[in-house]
Amino acid sequence: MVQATVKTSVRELSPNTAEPIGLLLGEACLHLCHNRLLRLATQPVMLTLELVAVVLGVVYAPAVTFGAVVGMAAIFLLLVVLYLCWHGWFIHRNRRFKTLCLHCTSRMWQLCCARCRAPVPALALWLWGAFLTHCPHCGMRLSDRKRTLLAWCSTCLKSRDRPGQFYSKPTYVIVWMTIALPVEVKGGWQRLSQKGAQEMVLYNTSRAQSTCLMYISANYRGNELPIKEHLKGQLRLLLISNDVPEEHAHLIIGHRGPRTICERVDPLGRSDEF
Amino acid sequence: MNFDFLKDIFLSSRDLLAALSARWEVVAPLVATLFLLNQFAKIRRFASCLVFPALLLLARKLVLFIPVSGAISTEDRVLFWSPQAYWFFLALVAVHVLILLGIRFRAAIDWGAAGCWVFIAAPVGLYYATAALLPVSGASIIYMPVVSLVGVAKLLLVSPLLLPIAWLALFIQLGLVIFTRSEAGREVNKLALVSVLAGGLMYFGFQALDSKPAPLISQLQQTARTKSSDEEKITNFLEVWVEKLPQINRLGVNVIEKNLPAAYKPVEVKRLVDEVPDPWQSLWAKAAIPVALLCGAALLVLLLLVERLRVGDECDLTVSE
Repeated sequence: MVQATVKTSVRELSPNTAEPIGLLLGEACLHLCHNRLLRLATQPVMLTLELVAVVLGVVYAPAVTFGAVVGMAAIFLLLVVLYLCWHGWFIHRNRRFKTLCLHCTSRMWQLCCARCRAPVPALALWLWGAFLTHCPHCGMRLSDRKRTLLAWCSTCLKSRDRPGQFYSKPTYVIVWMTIALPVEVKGGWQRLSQKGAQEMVLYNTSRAQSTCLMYISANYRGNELPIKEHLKGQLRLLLISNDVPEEHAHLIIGHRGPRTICERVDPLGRSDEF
Repeated sequence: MNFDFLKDIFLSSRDLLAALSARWEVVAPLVATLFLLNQFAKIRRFASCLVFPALLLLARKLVLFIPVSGAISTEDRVLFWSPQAYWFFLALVAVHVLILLGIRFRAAIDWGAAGCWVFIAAPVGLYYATAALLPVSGASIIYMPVVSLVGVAKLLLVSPLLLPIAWLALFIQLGLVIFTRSEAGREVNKLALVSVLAGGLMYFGFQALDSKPAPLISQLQQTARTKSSDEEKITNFLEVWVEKLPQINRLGVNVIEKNLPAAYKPVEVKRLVDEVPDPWQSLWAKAAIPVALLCGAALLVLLLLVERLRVGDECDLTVSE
């Protein structure tokens, strides 16, 4: 009997380093129209009824109709302007914090529904989701607290809970060059991946001030940082164990970014926990 | 507690901003300064969105000089004393809208040979309408169609809403730059432009419904109706306009009328135009403000409440990666 073995090649995704862009006016109006009441009001049948009502109102009570139409239009425009302003601030903050996907290190700023995994507009975060509480696609009730609204990476399709907290913190990259990887990790650090005995990737999202992505590498002989090129600008801390030879440490330090803090630290023991 | 002081502050601020906007010494340097700031790459990100509202303030001053045949205009109003001229410009605006729609939906429309006929008929129709409807004659008919096309831009821009929208947009942009560093400035400017054009269209369109024109307009309309021969029409429109430019700048009113009633001096005309009741304001004053506030608040509450209703299938999910 011949067994066919299927080989799946795992292609590494190129991280998306593009920055988020602001909303257009039409997009902001479209996002607001995901609101249940506005979605109902913009159905063709309802629009026809509304037009008939306005025409009748203009004939029998022009002042009241005028006031009603102007009042409602003014509130809608006000919401559009406020949402545009908030979204611009959200994007500006995201660019400043450079939030990264912890899996593929792509830039991350989007949201998705936990059930259907379809993208959800940022309106779901504005004012704690007051104007968009339900997924526009499946109707699922979105909640940051109940983990039904997720932060979503459009590159690797991974998601994270608590998007409000996740996007409100900067993502820092830490590199630790040592001669041996730690055996166990704790203190809020979670193991993300490990490449044999050479490299380990950890993350920590429990800190209030930042989200940290740590690369621990025992491959100091390569004289290179174990991170991709686009992360070097976000490298906050470069730790080099004291047992790493000076000539290698010097070459590794040369690769650091302009805002990287560099420290020599005590080496980890064999059974050390981190 | 007496809140009259808030009303006084609002009215004083409004008058102050109106007075500032009326002066060339304020508006022109403001625009020039913002253009200059735009030349520096570091500041351009913040200054670029402030330029548009400042340009709106400058445009308000500049469009006063654009002549519209058959109308009296100030910085905030364009009032037609010639009914025929009004219908001419109404048709011109409608044709512009149709052209824009035709361009927008050109993929869906198979023009065929009709497109060529439109290109031929349009200018012919324009010249015929100019000769028949506008209070001009002689050599003026040759260039008045082009002048009228520029006049359409003035009709869509000029309204009492232009000044408050421009200042509001300027303050919003300043707020965005200073407090939020938001990048919504371009969209706010788009919204401001759409609002200005909608306001201009609203005021221009309402004149068709205005069955009781102000005494000045009635007087001039009466004069227009008694004109039975071409001798009463202006044959050298642009020459008269050039002659009146200093007066337009000094008095803030643009009227090119061959036989302006003797009782109405230019200063008097400006005062009477300012006293012409704003038709939308009178409609607004008829209990529309409380209705607008009530309906706006009701819509906001309903938007929030309907969204919170538990209607669909909901469940708690535990996120696992």
